[in-house]
Amino acid sequence: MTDKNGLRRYHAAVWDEPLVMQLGHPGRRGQVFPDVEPAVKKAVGEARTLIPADMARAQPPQLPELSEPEVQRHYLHLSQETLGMMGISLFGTCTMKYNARVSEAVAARPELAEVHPYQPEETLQGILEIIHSFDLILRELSGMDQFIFQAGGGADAAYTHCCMTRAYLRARGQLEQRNEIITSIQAHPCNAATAAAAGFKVVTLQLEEGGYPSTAALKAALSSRTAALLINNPDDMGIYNPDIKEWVRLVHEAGGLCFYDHANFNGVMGKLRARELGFDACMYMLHKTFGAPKGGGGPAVGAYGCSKELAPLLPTPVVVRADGTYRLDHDRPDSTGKIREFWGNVPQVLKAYAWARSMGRRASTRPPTCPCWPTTTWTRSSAGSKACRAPIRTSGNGAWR
Amino acid sequence: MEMTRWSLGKLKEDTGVGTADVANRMADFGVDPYWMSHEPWSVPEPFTPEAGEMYSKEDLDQWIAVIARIVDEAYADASLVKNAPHAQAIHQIKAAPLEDPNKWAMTWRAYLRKNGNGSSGG
Repeated sequence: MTDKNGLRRYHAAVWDEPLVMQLGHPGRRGQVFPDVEPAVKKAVGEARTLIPADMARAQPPQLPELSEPEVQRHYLHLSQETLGMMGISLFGTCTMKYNARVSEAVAARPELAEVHPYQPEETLQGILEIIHSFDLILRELSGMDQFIFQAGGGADAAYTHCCMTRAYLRARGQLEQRNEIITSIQAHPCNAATAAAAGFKVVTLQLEEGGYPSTAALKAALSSRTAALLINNPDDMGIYNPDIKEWVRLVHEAGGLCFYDHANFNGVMGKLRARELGFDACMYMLHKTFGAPKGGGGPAVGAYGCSKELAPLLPTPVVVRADGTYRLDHDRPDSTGKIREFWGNVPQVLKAYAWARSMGRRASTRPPTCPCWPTTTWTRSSAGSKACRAPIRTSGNGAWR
Repeated sequence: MEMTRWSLGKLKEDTGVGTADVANRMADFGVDPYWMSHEPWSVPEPFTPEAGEMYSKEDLDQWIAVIARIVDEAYADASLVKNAPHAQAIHQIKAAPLEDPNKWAMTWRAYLRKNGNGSSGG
């Protein structure tokens, strides 16, 4: 089944598959439920009488009627027609491919999977403790003072920062004046896009000789109109800006905020901390660096962290610990408002926390693109191998226990 | 390697076959089309191979053999690559209907309104 070059024969499945709404037959069922027992019916009456008239549907939903095997076959056929995506996919660092089973097992535990954000806080202590504990780990890695997990991915976290910037400027009476966000042509495009979505003008710095924009170009872009710098380092081509600390200083001097987009964090995890470089805020994608599956079970998580100066502006609720108990702090009058519903995709946070704890502090600072990572790996990252010689940076906030 | 862009600029110059054509052809070998690059392209005809820890050396050799085969095909018969995929569930995706509110439908009710009750789909 292989040709002379050793390539295997292949052809995708082709199905003339109707839409699910066009399948089935009236009266066909996947499950036939037993009749309600007479004693139960006598006690509670007809089920439909339990639903208030103004909440009940006027007509039953027009759903297709199929047997269980028909449904399974239909979706199997569709999955076979998804243009592959089951073969060798060298889409590596953009999402960490190793999603540990232990993380899935932890997130599926009923104590965690069956809680609801509308439960009273005293019944949510366990899950809030996990969220807070993971917050501490990210603070340890970044030097920031508070993380939230509400954003549904990296772009959403960049948008969070743009909203935070608006709230920051509004509080200082500078929202009209400071209407420009600076980014680079090799920052992830979400930085420019979310800045524009939040109403800012975007100033895009171009690459120069070193493969990154020059400090002179940054200086030329800075003015009394500067609201913020949104930047990746290493950038979208894996290139480091060695002058990043000076950049942060210059932006602050001009009155702007600095946001570190940690899309490419794996090579520098444990080697540098955004806050020590002077950044006001940063974000991590849990699927890129912390072993959570990408797009699994809902949206991703863009973990957004910021300095204590910006923390009052964070979207609510913020999980806080006081007097040995955890609570959801909604009472934050300076908050920029919600970015998403509730507290974000909590199972992703659980999986990332399980990954971080099972790796431990030292291993978590040797990410899988690095030759020192403690499982079989043959890929070498120039960023990782160099960084490994550097000491692990830590503040010792007790996150790793 | 992390976020390292490779270029098929020479292939494009020599044959007219660009990186998007090669990506389409990869699907014919049961290999996922590679990720090219964010926009804008800062190297001509880019692609970004990133081998995570989950693939074996044999997998990677297979992936490389597919790329080598497609490059050979481009020099021998560019139209074969430019018209790919040939062994997939569908041919090239036509993006225009996705931009046309008269065509797409997010609900069954909208589908019936835009396509008529007797439609056989497709």
